[in-house]
Amino acid sequence: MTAIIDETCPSDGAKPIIPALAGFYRCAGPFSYAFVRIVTAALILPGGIEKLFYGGVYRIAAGNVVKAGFSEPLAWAWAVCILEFFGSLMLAAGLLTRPVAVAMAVEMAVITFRIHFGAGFFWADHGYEFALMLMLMCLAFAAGGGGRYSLDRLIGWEF
Amino acid sequence: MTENALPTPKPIIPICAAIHRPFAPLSYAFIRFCTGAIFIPHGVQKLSGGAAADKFVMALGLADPAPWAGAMGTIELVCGIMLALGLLTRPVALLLAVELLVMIFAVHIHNGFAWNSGGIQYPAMLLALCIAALFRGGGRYSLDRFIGKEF
Repeated sequence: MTAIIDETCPSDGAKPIIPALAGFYRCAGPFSYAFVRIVTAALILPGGIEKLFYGGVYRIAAGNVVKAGFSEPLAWAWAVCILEFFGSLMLAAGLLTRPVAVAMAVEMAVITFRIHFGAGFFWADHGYEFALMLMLMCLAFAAGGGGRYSLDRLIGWEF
Repeated sequence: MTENALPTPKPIIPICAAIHRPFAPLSYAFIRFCTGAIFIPHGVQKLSGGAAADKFVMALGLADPAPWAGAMGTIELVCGIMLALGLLTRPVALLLAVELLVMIFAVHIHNGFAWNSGGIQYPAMLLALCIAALFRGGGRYSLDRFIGKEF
């Protein structure tokens, strides 16, 4: 079986034009993917905290979940709340990265296309670009998995 | 420095490995491409609509915002395309990161955290993505790698 090329662990590189920077690139490069994963999770987490601890779950159950066209809005609101809180912690830690990333990509796709799409692209006008960007990053994590610095890698098994 | 401290995890569902094999290597390139591409509409907006098209540029409170909007629009359009293609990845990522830092500290930090009130949530994400590209460079699927030299 051919090994999967792991782009989260760069082993080859183009020659640096400034050779002195090669050491920095070799040290910093491997952290790049984990950094993106952790920052993305950290930006979703406050939404989860607000929904779980500050009544946000009832706010979205009466608002955006209905706007997105779901029946049983409270059940879906709890699903969103749990996903944003526990899911973002798992994504940051790289635990079950792919299933969590797929679930979040679906959530962000709903937010993009059912809630913000009408406001256009630009975030200054409450458009969909931020939700779209989160969706795309979650798709990247669904493709790449936990990577070099993740609990998935530590455990040695992944979905 | 060892490149693989730990081996790639085994798939719990073996058939999943068949799905991972074509997609996993594309993950970083996809992140880099999306990061660059998301700047392009902003560049086009500033270049076609001027400073007034972007309320965050107006929020800078400049006496003459037009040339600044032109410069920022050019950076966003040109560097966005180059980052998406992975051409001179690190220098253009640095330039975009500097622009984002200026906007975050001049405008967004006063609006709090939440993106829908113009806060730092979204620009912080873009900044992190640019820093990630600065660390990692073009990667396997980039013009930098194709050319064989990079900054």
